Amino acid sequence: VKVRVDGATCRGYGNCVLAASDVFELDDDGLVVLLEDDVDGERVKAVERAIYDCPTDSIALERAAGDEAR
Amino acid sequence: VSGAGVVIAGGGLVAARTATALRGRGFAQPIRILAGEQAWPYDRPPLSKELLAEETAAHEIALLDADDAERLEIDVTLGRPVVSASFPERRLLLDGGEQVRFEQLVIATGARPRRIAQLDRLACALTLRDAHEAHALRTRLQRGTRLVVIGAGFIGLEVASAALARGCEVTVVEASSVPMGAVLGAELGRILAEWHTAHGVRLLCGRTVLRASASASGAGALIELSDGVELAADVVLVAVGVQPNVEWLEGSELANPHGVPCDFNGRTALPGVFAAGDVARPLRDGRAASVGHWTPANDMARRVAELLTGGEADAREIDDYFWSDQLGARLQLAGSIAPDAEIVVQAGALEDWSFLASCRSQGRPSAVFAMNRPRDFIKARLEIERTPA
Repeated sequence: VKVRVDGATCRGYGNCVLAASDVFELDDDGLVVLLEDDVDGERVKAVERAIYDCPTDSIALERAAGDEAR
Repeated sequence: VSGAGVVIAGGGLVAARTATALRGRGFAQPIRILAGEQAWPYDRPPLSKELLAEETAAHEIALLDADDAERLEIDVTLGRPVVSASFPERRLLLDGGEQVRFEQLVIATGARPRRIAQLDRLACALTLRDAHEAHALRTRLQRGTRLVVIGAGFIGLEVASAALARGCEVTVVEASSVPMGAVLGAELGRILAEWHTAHGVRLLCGRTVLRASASASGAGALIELSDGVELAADVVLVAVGVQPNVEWLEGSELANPHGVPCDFNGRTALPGVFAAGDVARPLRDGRAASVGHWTPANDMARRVAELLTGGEADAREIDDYFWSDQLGARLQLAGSIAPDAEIVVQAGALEDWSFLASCRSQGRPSAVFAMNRPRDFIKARLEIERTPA
């Protein structure tokens, strides 16, 4: 499952890193960068938690056709 | 009462997040949100930040709109605050007379700004809690406007910051000796005071409002402080903290003027009745924990939704992280800093206004605080999270 982040709306609050530190990181400006842009299994759950915890709604999961619908 | 489902009293972050998390977990019973405000749930942190800086459309801060509600089958009633509750009958009374039955209840009625009696009658004295107030404030903050902020908490300081950027003349009056002293303690508060002063905020600490009167034109105010200093203001912002919206619980089992007693999972003493967000008052080591911020409120909403769908209580501490943006500085705190805490700088330097500090109290780490150090902060926050309580 593809992970997408929106650098334009991210404000660097860091909640995503807490939820999934092997997927998200902050760059030198304190904004989100992806360590992985494709996740599966337990890490999908961690990214879902990051989506829930993001104050600026800057993260999304993009499931390919055939994946379970959101 | 079968079929009454979950009722959420309140229409802010907790309401929106609990409702959507419930549907996300497959909850199939009715969900009803009772919002006191005549507005769909929206996000509050931007009100004292982006919203004061620029024109912001309502949809940019929306948390749940009519389309979401229809898609998720969430029944939303706007502009109808709850006025009383009967827990034995599992029934609420709304403003306007409607009675609402519930099977399970989430108390999320939030808080409202405290007021100062001496300033109550001034037309130019505003508070900042909802989107209407934010728009009213922004309209008044023009180049040259003399703004007096009463209270150097994070709302007061964020407004001071936005007002300075808009060309206002800004004075902040604070009763204690440093800004945000109750949260940061004296040492870190002093660093923050220097930051604001260096940027042109006139910061008057250790003083309170003695009396105030309308200016000759009637549009502004003349404020006299406890030390005799007089301030002429075009706009006054009263930002001296909030009080929980709990009056509707008076006479019930959950009545408490300081907030609804509950645990970190939102559980109250009554089965099937939860509280979360600003109105909730969970205790940590016998002291009220600070959950009146976006992240802990969001976290409590998730925990409540988990319990309402048959999940387990989360045994971890609440994530009481909060951030504030002031004059281009990003402040971040996780945990709580006790007045006797020992502050140890881990990276950067206090006098550079760029540092990560860890705070120890009674021999154990109690908090991490950062100014302009987001990367260092998140690493430290991760470590705290991984340290068993």
